[in-house]
Amino acid sequence: MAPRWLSTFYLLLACTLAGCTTTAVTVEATFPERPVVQQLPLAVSVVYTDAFRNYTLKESIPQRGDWEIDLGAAQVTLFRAMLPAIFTEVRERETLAAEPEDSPVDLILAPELLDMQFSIPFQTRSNFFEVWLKYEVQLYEKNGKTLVARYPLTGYGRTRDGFLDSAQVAIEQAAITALRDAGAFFAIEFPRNQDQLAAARARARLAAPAPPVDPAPAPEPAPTDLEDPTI
Amino acid sequence: MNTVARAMLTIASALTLGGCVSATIEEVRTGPAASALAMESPIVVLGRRHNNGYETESQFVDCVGKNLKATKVLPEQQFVDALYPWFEPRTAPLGTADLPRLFANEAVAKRVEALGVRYLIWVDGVTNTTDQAGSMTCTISPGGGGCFGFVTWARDASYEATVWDLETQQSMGRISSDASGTSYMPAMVVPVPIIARVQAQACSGLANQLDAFLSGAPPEAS
Repeated sequence: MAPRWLSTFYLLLACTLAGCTTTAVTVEATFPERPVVQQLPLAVSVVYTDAFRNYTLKESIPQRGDWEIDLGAAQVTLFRAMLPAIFTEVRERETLAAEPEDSPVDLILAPELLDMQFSIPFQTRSNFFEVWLKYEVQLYEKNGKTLVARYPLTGYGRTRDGFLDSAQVAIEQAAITALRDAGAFFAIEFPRNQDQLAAARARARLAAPAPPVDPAPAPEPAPTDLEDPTI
Repeated sequence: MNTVARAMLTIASALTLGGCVSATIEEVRTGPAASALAMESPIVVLGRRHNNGYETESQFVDCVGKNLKATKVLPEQQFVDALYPWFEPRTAPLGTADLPRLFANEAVAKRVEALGVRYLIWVDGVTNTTDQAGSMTCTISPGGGGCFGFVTWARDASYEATVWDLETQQSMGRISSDASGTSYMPAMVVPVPIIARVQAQACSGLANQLDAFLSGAPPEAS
């Protein structure tokens, strides 16, 4: 039988190592299927890159171990639920490329998660787990080359620190709230910006290279930032 | 009395003991009471979650909805999902002045009509721990274990419910519910919690007053 001091040592060692564990969170969410929004007479193609589909945030918090938050599948689910309500037709692509000539697609959307941050009550001395998301939806003409605009999109979500809830559940719920927030903002504000979008497309067309008379590559037109999408 | 019976008695006593709670309900009516016909349509109780420092607890909103007896209550999440994206924390209307713009959207108006919701109740507030004192020490040894000490904490629940009539797009009035109380936990081997059910008291008080408010009964003295 092991001496008592050895048992105590193992117990202390286990408690110390517990601080070095990894907290893994896989965000699994469903979103309302048919958002109540104005549908635009536009057909779009959406590019979900591998980086977007498999996005995982890895971060280390001192005294609280490593964290891994897998958001990829959930954000694809959000866009799949939201976009068919906004556009008449939605097609999916894995890479950005030109649409065929006979394609009905008007625009190509390429969403990108630029930044994701989160905080836990230990860090903020508050009662909340919080998640921030910063997206950029790049809008291209159907040739896949002419960048029309960069549409900024942010999301914020928080969950109260529950006595019986685990940190995983709290962070997952905060991430779902942040996704819903980003989706809500896009669904409401994007249809309101059609005049700005039309103007941006016109500018992009004017700046686009002429038909290939000269084989020399033309400089890429400067994209429009829809910095303040609100009207 | 054997040990098991004594332990059972201690637990039963702890469950039945409750700390004192003082509650205040106030009502301001700004519109006519709901008609009996209108009360047949379901209502929705929603929590305010746009504030920076706090958000109304979901369980409190659920509690108010479950305690309303006057009419059928549509679950909060069902309503918010059905009207997505218009009732998220960032996009929800903050006042009745926002309703005409919201209902100018034909799709929104149709969805609300399909749900049959006439009255909407916004609940805004939070329960906070305002003070705590004392200490307790628990030990476990091969021969047994126990706790010794005394802990006390005070909680304050402050909520306000605002009733909107979606048909007239006007506010019908406000009801505020405040409750505060102090809980105690003395421990002589076994801790005996004497809990002041502050939030539950605020919830039942608010729900009862909402019932009276919606049915047009005069405010009760509290």
